[in-house]
Amino acid sequence: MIFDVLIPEIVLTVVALGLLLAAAWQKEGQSGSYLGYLGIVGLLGALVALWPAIGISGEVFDGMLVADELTMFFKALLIVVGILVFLMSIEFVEKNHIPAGEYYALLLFGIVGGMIMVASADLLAFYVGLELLAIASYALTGMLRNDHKSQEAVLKYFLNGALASAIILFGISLFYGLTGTTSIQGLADAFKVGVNGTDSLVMAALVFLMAGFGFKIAAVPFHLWAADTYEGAPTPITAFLSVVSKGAAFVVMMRIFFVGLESLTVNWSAAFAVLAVITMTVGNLAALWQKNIKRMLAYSSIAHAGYIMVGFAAATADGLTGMTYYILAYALTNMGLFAIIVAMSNAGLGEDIDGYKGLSRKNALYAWMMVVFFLSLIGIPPTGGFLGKFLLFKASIGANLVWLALAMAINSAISVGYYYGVVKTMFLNEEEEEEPQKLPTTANIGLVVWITGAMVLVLGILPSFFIELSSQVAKILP
Amino acid sequence: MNWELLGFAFLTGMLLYSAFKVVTTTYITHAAIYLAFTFVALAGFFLMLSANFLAAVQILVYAGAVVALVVFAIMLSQRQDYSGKPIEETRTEKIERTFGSQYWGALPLVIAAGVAAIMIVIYRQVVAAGYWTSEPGPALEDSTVAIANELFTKYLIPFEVVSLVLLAAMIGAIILTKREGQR
Repeated sequence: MIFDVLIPEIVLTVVALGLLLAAAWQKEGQSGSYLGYLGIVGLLGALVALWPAIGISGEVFDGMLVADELTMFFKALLIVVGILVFLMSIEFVEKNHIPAGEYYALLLFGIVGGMIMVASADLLAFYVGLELLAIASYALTGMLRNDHKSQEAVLKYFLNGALASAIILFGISLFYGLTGTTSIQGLADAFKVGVNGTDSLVMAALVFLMAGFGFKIAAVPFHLWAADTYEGAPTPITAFLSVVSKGAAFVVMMRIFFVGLESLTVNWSAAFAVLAVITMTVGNLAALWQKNIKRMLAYSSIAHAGYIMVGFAAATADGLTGMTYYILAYALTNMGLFAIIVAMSNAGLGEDIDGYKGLSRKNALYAWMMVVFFLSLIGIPPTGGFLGKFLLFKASIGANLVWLALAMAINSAISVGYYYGVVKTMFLNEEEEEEPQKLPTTANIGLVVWITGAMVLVLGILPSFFIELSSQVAKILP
Repeated sequence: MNWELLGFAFLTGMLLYSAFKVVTTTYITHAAIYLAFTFVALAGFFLMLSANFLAAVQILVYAGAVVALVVFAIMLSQRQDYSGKPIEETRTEKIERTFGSQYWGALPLVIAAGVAAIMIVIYRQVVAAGYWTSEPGPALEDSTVAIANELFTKYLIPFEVVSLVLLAAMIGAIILTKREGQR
């Protein structure tokens, strides 16, 4: 049945509505944690519900959605990331008096939006998915209502996001005017017959589309909102923004550029190459000066958007495989890192890098896992980040972009600087003589850290299965 | 006399003027009323394009319901003096406030003019390249039926997702405006 494709989305929507209803019966002062656990059950259900759709491939629902390897891979990743965000949220939501029902329901809506985005075969379906994810993200960013920074974050995010959506829509409207279709495959067909791909009008449409997506993935020079938003948002939501919002936008870009605008590859791949270098360099250099760990990771995530864009610059099947693997590794790494930051903020140690002094003696698991995650972000074996970078490296060399590969290598070296700063603070601070107070590992955060840590290492040591999965994604290429 | 051109010019003037006033007027209730005028002018464009159903929806939903809600929101919000006070200012100050901004001077105006220039160039190109013919196609016999058919067959999935978007927006608006401790 064709609805099999939509079962996970339907399950999540029903669970989200159920959470909202359940929250209405929540008593004053009653803990909302059970809502979070219900949400996790729902997400696990959605993960199982992916199963019936495995055999289905091709466009469904009159060409609105598509079912293929790319969709399947990223839907599964979105749900897994969703489970991790839920796990790290439960204690945080309690501590900060965030309305639990609305928080978890909006998170689920955001994940549904992301799933619609990665499954869209039509620009219209993509756009409503984007808005669903974006609106849920705006509201979640402002959930700390008595925190000044959170309010600043949501305002900046909302205004920039709305502008980006308008720019994307304008680009889409120009493409619609040129080709008479909003279908991604239809765009490709129209450029093959009739529509002149080198027309300056096509270029204008392309510029609008790329600028709009640039905002969404926080590529330089469209990144100015990112640092403040990531810093002010509730920490689990920062993790959500840096992985789900960014990742889903990248996946849609893969389909739009690699499939829909395939005839214009020469134009957009060159533009992406330039954007990639600027983005990774500016992100890494700005991260060097940060005192707040969330702000540092915001700039680091800007730099990572730059690395991922190398796959677009290469514009080959290898590039696509590399990006997919990189997004997988980056998503798990960031989830683990942010889980530890959530644990630190739950313990009242703050978000400043200074607060991480002597963490190795307070909680060895967190300290060592942070080292693993940093290694993965830098791209040092035996972690998943290394393999992701290696695949992108290979792709850029294969596409004769040696300078781009070189820029990646130099940038990885720069990034060692700020990650090492944190590690130094955690391990080498010998000032205080007495044994510091231990920081206990809580069950939920510990689970996230163990899962992501193990996965990051598996991605680095036994990658063949996941490389195979990632290369399946490249099947979307015509 | 070309009535169509005249109507178009009238609607364009109304749309641009009222949209400009929405963002520059100091009375917040006036801004809401100008917003209603903007929506009505837009409905006029839809009518000129023979999109009768869209024009009616535009009037009912936007000029009617949305503007009414905006006015309600203004009246129910915390501010006692919802009419807004006229700002005491000289003529030059008023011009400065309308066309410039506190920190950036006339930069916003320059950017807006730049964007407008780019749009004009792009649309001239569109017409020159012949992608969009200036001759109107045959008007739909019954646009309501056509829209309904498309909406509930081909575009069913986006249509359903939009309802989720609206729900998420509603929850978000309530959450962001509610103060801590209030239930």
